[in-house]
Amino acid sequence: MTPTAETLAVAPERGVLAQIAISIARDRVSLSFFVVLVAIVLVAVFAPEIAPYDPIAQSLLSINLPPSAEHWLGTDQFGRDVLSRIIYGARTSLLLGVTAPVIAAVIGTLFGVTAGYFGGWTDRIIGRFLDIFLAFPALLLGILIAAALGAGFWNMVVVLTVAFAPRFARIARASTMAIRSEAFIEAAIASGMRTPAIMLHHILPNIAGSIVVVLTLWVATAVRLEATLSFLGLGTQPPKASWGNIIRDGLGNLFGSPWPIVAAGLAITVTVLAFNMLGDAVRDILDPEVRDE
Amino acid sequence: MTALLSTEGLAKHFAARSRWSAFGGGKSVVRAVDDLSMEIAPSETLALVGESGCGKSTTGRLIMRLIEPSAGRVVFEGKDITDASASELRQARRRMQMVFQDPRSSLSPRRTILQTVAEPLDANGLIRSPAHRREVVAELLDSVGLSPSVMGRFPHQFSGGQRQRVGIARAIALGPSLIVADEPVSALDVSVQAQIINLMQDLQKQRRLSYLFISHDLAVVRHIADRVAVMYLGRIVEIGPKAEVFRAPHHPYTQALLSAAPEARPGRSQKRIVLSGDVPSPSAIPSGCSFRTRCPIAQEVCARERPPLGAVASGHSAACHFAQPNPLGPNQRGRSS
Amino acid sequence: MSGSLLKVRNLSVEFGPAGKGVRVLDRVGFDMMAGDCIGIVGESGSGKSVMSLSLLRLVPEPPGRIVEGSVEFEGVDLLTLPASRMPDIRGKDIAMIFQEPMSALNPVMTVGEQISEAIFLHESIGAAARRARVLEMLQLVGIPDAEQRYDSYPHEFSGGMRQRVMIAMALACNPRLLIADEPTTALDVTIQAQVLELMKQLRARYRTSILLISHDLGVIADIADRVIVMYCGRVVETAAIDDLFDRPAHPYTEGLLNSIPSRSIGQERLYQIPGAPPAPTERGPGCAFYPRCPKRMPVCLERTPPLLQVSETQQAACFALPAARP
Repeated sequence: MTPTAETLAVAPERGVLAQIAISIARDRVSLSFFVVLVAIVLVAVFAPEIAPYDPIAQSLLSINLPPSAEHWLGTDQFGRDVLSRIIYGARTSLLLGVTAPVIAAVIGTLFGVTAGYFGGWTDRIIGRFLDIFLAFPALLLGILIAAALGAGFWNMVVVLTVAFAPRFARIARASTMAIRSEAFIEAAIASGMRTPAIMLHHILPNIAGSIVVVLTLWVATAVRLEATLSFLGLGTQPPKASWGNIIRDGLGNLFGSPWPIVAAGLAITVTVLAFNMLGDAVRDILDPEVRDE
Repeated sequence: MTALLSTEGLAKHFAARSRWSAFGGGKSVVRAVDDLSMEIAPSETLALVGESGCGKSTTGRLIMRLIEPSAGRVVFEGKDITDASASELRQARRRMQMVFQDPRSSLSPRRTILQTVAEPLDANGLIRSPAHRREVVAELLDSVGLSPSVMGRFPHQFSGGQRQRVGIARAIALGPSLIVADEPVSALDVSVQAQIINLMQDLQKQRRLSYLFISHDLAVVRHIADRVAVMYLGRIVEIGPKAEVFRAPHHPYTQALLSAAPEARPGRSQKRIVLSGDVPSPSAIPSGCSFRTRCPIAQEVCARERPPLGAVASGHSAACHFAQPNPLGPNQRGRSS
Repeated sequence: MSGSLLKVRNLSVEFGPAGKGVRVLDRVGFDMMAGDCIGIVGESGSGKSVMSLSLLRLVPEPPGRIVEGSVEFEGVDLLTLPASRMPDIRGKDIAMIFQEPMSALNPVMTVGEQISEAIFLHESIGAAARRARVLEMLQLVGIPDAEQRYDSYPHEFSGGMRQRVMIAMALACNPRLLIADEPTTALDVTIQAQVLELMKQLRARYRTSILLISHDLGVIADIADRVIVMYCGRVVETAAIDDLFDRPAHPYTEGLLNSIPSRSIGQERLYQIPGAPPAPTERGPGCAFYPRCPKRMPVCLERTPPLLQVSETQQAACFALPAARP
């Protein structure tokens, strides 16, 4: 070995997932939010096994009951068990909250990376479309499309995807443009790499961090928007439970029986917060320069 | 001697849109590189020197076809690659690689050293198995003075000099005949700079490489180059064997450039020629000789006629109406040492 | 040569949390006489920029911290002065120019206004007199059409012109010490030559003392009469300019000089110092140059060599020096 070759202790190579797991386990705050998130997901998956009652079974004998041993979170104005509705509502809210942003992220990144990488006319055409969509607030766009398509779960997925995709595209485009001008892209071109491979190996890994952070933020927003749309009667249709329409149903009797609203509101808050924290953690982990600190 | 690489009338013009172009106002043309013809022989180092904005980096990228020329031809290993298709270009690039200035931005922060160095091999389908890949990369790392044990590391875990070694390992991976090195040592500290220059010279001998060595640092150029081309505002103003250009510069700009470079010896600056003014913008290049606005010996003819790049000695040309050895008068630094 | 201007003793700076901070500047000391031009040379990580900032107490705090030492400027220790007194000294008695003139100028103020403001901060003279002084300064640093250029914005200037503006601003209050941190590094050689020429003229004319920080020994050789060589946060050698270039005493200085391409013309290979400087976190108790040193001895690992007198004008911190031998 020449004297200039400094010996460096070699870190064992690990997979990205293993690294994420290790880093989450190491950081206590991330770990606790991760546990919360896993718990919420488990609750959603095993709702039928966990829920003490049928979430849509009404009982005129027990309306607007406060929390008790039988009904931990009380009952609503139709006598339905609030805890069971929250548990089943987690299914709708989470499924929508994850599905729509993920689809939006994939579509948006595709357009954003294309626009940012090629620039020129491609960029200008994609850019104009993005501008049009971005001119509408997500909620307004959602209401417009939901009104046109009608209510229902998959329609809501479409609504949220259309509302979110341009936002992902914008971030992907900006990050791609910044990476595009780095010398390592030129080096990759010079080494004979094809454009799709460059996008996959050089652009995506370098923009993934920002996309994932935004993704977790929009998961949070999607959970909120689902609640809003359902609240407005454009989302999940009763009697099916979602956190949004639990709040809507509870609003009529806010003072008589605040339990449904408080419980659903809390569920939304905790979920949104957990996703945000997870986003920060994932971003740090995806960045090898931060990971070593 | 057949040239490994030659360019003929190579040019790159950008349309710079002025603020009012949306209203039909004038578009100005930036002539980054103009009418550039030169040759590089096998195993030779041609240095391209000049100040920022003179078009030397653009020239490197034009030769690599990383940007498309506006005019002119590039002939590499006997083939005209000016209009080469994407697949022909990929073939040519196996023999022609690049080393960049900033070893920080030229390595992807998300890719390990193994992935980075193996990149050209992967892209050209030269890898048989993961074990083969590691074996080849280990050899490459060894030849640039890095321990193969660093393969799994990321660029930020290395110093600037080590990163540049990784960049060089990547560049030699495909066994090129030409390396375009764009300011490869200017981001490095002096003591590390010497290591990289020595490494590049060793590799040149072992692998019969040619270098197009782009640099603003005349001291480095004087050490590493066989021939030197001096650029000013997109054009070559003087080209010739290193010894000739340094001993007897024929273009006033070359002479001023040589005398302006601070030498690491006290008391040498007495006879320095200090040019007045700044380099004009490449979107408003003066008529005739583009250097005339700063030239101490400019005459009327210089504004009217652009001086051609004419031979002043064997293999030595200068683009000046008044080309002669040391046109600005005697200069101690040109002759000393 | 008149009296002492600057006396720096044991200046140490740490970065990071107290107790486990990383020492980037370790007991640096030197003297400067009025009228001196001292060059401070070192590679990245040598602490030369931190040192220049800490003279004016400009080290960002946190994470930085001046942990010990004194900076005596004309007999007053700047480090024990109340913080509220520092703005009077900065710009007035000690001015500073930086490497990147674009980021040091405010993009939305005209160049004239910025110089005028610098004067306004320190001197109570009327607006007309101030404008006249600004125009005089602009002419002095060689900016043509000073009247018109007064109302230009920084982006309308080239890099070399901006550095001239910075120099004009720095000299506007006639400081006694000018600290120039890599003033020509961002400039092209022909422009660098202009700026160096200008600094030399101004020095001859106003007898301003200059502390020039640079990684480029060529620039230092051009203008300084004394050199301080820094390595890993310590002064390893200080010498009169000719001594340093002709008889470097410290092995690092020698290696640095030998690896400069312009000093090895005609040689097949450049001399190279093996390895790279250790990171601040990896510095041990001994000499920081030990791993790369051709003259290393066991003692170098145990203790930090102190600065020893080599000749009347030269000091170096190395146990291999004849003076260090018992």
